[in-house]
Amino acid sequence: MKSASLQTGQQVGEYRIEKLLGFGGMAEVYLATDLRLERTVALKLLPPELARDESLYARFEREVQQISRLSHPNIVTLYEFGRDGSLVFYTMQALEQGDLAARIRGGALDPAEALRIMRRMADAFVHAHALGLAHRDVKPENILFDGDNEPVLTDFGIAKVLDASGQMTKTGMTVGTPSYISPEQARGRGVDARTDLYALGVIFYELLTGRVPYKGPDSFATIMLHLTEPLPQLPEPLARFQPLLDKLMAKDPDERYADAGELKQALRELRRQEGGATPPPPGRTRPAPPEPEPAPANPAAAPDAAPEAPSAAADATPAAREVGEDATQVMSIEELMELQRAQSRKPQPGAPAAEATAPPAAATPAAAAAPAPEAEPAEQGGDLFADAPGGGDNRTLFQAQAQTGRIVEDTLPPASRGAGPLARLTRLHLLLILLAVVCGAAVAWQLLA
Amino acid sequence: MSPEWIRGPGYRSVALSHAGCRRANNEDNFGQSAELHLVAVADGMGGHERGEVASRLAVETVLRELGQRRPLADAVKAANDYVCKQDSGAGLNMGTTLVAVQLEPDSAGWHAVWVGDSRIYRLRAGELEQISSDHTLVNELMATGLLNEEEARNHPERHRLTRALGGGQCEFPLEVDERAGSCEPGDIFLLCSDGLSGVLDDATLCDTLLAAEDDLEHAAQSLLQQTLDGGAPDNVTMVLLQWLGEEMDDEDGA
Repeated sequence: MKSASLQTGQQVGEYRIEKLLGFGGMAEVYLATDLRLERTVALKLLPPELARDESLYARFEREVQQISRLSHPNIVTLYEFGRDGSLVFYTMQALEQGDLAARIRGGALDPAEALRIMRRMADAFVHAHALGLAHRDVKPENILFDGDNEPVLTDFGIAKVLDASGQMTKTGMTVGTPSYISPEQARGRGVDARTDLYALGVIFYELLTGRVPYKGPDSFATIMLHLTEPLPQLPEPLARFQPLLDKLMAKDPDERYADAGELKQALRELRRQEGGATPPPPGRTRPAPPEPEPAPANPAAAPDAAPEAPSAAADATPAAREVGEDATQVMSIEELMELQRAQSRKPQPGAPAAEATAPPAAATPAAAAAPAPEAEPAEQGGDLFADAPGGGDNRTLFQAQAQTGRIVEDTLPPASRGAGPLARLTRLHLLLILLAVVCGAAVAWQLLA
Repeated sequence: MSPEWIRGPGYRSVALSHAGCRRANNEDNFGQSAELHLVAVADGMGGHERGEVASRLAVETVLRELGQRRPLADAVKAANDYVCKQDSGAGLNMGTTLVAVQLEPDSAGWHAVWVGDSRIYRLRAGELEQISSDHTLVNELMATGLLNEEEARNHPERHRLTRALGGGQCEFPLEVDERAGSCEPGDIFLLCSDGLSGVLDDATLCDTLLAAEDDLEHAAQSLLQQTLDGGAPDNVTMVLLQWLGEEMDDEDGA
């Protein structure tokens, strides 16, 4: 019964089908080539039942128009919505680096990596919720990774339309595996942006522990746990994340973060604390390097309240990486891709003079990426450790991070860039010191263990 | 399509299925066997026409398993395993409901099983009773007291099933609800997909069956016609099974 509706080589609209990527609920996802632009896309084929019902089709079209307003590096870019005879499909950015579900299947993630993913998702939701768009079906299967190892949220808003078509066609009509269902969804009450935050809370728990918080013997039992069971408690070594989890997974939406901006703020606060002397977490991953304490940047200021305000990038050099994260938001995906293309035309991302002398691969991209001395190595270094369990992905990641770093740097207003040779020197020094600290910490940890 | 009849020792049964007004394909299936004394209705789900495959597989598997003398609930579980196997790894979420009634003519016994939101009713002595209970989110929440009737009616996900054969539930062991009892002459069992029970309320079902005065085919056609008149947004499938008892003639009333 694994029959795909479309065959390799078949043409749909202006696209040639390359291969089936998988089945997602009631849709089929293919890798396809856009014959006009000669680029690779993901093509999502919707059930033919949808094409047969004009009102449903019109509703779907409207919804896709809404979704196409989204433009964020952590939200999948929609290319086109099309129809070819009885085939209804839409095309989007092709993301072939697997989904978050696959990564969690390997067990808990390093907390640093878990927090990185959470920060990116918070960013994505700040953008989407500001446009009045809730996702409604947040789950690890809907978080894919791009070539830069950036998590990208997919299927935004599709859930609502498929629900509507489900009512109509009786397709996909079980509760599925209700691991991410919020209490208000289960009760049929108003669903809003905070529903996405609940699901994100479930994912946070899963990232940290490797398993979902509530799992009953069947679907309904699982739903009942979401409705009535006390909040899941994180094991002691992860207890510092409990307050954040509580504010995401509160049964009552009013007790959750009011919006993604508040979550983003809390994550930033948490990272500041993580920068201190927290013990390296036990687990399969190497301990993350201690993160240097960024200067206490005015906590509740512009970046969260108005994350897309360009001024946010201009004033906060000490928290440059955070500012950088904010700054990326002002770019459209087209601009971002243009930058990436520009980068790929340059020799090798890791080549510039400053990096040439930095010893291990892990340290180099941080140097390449650092837009400002204080904050950058922490985040990037942590990511690298978290991301290289087998060591084999270092090179790709290395390039990816280097690119990301440049984008951030290019986006920052000139005033906040440390562009001169002196700045580079300082950066290198700082990095070497950091490296020494990391090695020291690792040795100490080994001895203690 | 025209009604299909079967007759067995002490009973008769007629089945009718229609795609409805708004759907091009019919994902429902039914089964009737005078050898196994079984009637069944299955309502398939899953995009790309996989629903009709799932419902057909389910009915076929149950009949096959019963033919090998397996108990009814086990046959349903086997059908679930089969649907899940067909779907394994593909994530199609192909699934189906299944309701079935098996008679034991020698002892005038009946045995009902159900999974999903297809229903089994019994008309006895002028009263209609729903034998099955819907495996829907709202129905199960109401049973726990967390949802009242009005909230259930307005629930945007009120059609969501908590149990199905396949249908994204394969990671959980299937629990099959069952009920059994003794037939009384004249008992009519109505098995139907929610394309019928979602349009006609219980009172209408009861009135129509009573008005048909044991003309099962007329009753079935009348139920279908009223559903179509009501818009029939979904496929409509029903089986009417009547226990006549030994002493009764085919045309006698209750």
